Amino acid sequence: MLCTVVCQMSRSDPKLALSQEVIVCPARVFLLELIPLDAKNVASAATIAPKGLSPETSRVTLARWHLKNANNVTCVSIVAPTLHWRCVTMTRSRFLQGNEACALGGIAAGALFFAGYPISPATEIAELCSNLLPPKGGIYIQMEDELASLAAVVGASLSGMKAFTATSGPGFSLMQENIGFAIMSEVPCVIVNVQRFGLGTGIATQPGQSDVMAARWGTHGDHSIIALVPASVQECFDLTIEAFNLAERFRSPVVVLIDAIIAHLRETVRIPEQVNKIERIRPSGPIEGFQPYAPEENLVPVLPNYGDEYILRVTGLVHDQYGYSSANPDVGGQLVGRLIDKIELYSHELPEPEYTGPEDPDVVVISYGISARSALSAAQRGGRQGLSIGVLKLKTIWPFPEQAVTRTCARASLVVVVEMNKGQVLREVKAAGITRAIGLNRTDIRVIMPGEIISFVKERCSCAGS
Amino acid sequence: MSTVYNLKREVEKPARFTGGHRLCAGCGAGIVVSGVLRALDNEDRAVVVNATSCLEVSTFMYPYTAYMDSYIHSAFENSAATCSGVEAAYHALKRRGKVEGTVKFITFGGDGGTYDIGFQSLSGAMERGHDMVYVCYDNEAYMNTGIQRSSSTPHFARTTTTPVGSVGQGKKQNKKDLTEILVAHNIPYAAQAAPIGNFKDLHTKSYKAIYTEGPCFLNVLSPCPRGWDYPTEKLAEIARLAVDTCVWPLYEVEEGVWRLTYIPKKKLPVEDFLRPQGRFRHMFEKGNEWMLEEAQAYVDQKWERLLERTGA
Repeated sequence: MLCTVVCQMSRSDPKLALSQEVIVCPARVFLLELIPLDAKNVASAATIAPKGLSPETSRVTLARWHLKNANNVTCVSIVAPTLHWRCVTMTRSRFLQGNEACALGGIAAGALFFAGYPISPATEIAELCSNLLPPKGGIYIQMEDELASLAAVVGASLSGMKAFTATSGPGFSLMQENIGFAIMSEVPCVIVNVQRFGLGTGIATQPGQSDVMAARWGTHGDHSIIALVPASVQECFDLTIEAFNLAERFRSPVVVLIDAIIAHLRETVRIPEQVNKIERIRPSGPIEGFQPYAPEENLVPVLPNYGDEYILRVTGLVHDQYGYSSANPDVGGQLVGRLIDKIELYSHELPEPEYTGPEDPDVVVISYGISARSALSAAQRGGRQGLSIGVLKLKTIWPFPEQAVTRTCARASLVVVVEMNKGQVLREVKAAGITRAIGLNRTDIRVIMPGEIISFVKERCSCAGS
Repeated sequence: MSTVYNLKREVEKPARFTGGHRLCAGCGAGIVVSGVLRALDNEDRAVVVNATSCLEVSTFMYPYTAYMDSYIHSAFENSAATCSGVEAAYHALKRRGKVEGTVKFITFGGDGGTYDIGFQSLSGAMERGHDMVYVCYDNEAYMNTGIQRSSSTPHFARTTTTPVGSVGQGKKQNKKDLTEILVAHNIPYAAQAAPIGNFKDLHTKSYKAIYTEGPCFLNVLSPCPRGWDYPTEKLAEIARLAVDTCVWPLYEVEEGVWRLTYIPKKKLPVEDFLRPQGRFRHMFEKGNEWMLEEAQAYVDQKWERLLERTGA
């Protein structure tokens, strides 16, 4: 196979241990991953430079070049004297499980640190990370419990790595103190909660959507938090990337709430050649008198990493702009206020809910996760039966997208919130002013089916079609 | 208990742990639990506390239970703490004459629920001195969630989170020596046991643990065909090999006195224990001889130390 390769090797420091690069050739786009070179790789390398790419133009001497399975999966390895470039998979789409998509999304977002603890139905994320991260020079640590998992993630993030963990209900409960700590000390990190059924140990392998309020109010104290709710395997990938970007943007933990069905569902996922990544902003300026917790204009501070020249003092106590703990009422009030405002005042930057349906529907169904998939199907089928149903599928669940909800529901005669819990989002919809909203709820591990939604709407809507 | 152990008589006692549970064929856990509970005197009642585990999900499925005694499963990390509360309240009520008869408190946890997430709760309960027995059925990984490593997983063992490939060669660390840690709590009785032979070892230690006042600890090796990757019928053989290779020495520590309860007539090479198990398969590949040497050296060193301690 003949390829003209354009290497975009503009990095200032080619010795960076880990990065990604795109190579464009006439046939397809290759995503190259840079992995540390060891002596073994160099020794095995042949000295054949691919056509059209001379050492001078590329600034690296290409030594090895593999193309396999040219139609779909392509594997490319290029060994340079100092670097080893390897393209792992170059498909445009892959057939993935939600949990896998979530792990791959995290890695695509640049997260190379995972600390976790096995728990159904989230274990695949840990397993995949334990397989994928070490070859990339990343870290997989299996901790002794979920308290330790999130604590390690917070530590890793403070050291400068994008880090995440994945768990399910019982583990999520154990993480709550550390979530509060991460909010308080403004540590970007991502917590994936694959929701299972019930409280307590519940039913470990069955789905639920009942951790919505636990994500919002699980940790003690006034606070704000960002939580995203994927409704497809594609969204597991996309929204995990988004979660990392938002975590860096807002310097806050971000929760990804998946349900066990989406987590174990397999669908085709389009893996883009390049993903939009927000990298952490690093401080500049004098070290003397540096105030790590002094907020920028957007209320978010720019913290150094441990290992930087700056001294970074972190505490879960109320602290001033230097990071020193304080019992001053003004300091406490301002800090808690800013931690809430830095998210709530900028919530328009978060993923907007997606509306699907007629312009002026009789019925608006608000839903998320696997229930939203049923709602979309119900709207389509209902449409054929003369029902006018629009679906508002949430992507951000916290902060609750009140404006989009009120706007969409303004003229609908019937608003139904479909969710697998006792009405946790329904309560928010009502609080947003849509007091006529009613809930279609299930809490028996069964997914709410499209037919159920259609019957529910028909029973309650005087406008239901003939 | 009569002075001479008799398996036939023991198995004729009414079962406290019944068949029909959903544990895998060839699983050590069921044998361990029935072996421990069989040591209870017929007239005594028991409260079984169970950490989240294979054992819990397989023996206590609504509306079925394998336990003829009272039972509580609270969570993964807190079985010993839950048992502490149950025991403390029982004894308070007993002192006030509100309850009659004898109730024994026995907690079962897997290695995940004991070595890792439940360790804090176990350590607290042992230190406070509750009159209870904590039994760890140690199958050396998180089998319930699909074979992930635990701090009990031995060096080089393959699990789904310590994969064998170009970067990793199974678990990098040695197994945590939990029994020794529990001994360091200065509890009246701690022992390491295994379901071998006629179960005399397990029975004797269980009886001592249950009927010694104060906090007692049993660490019982519990082979797992799925995680260790051996044919189900080899359970007894694998357990025996663990003991005869000194990978899992049988000993007890009573009031601070260490005693070996079994000395193999011929100490077998560690290879004999490792070879039948798929989780160690890569150790037998060409070029990996160093792994076997390292594993042998580690076992030898631990065994020597144990011999010194027990004065054997």
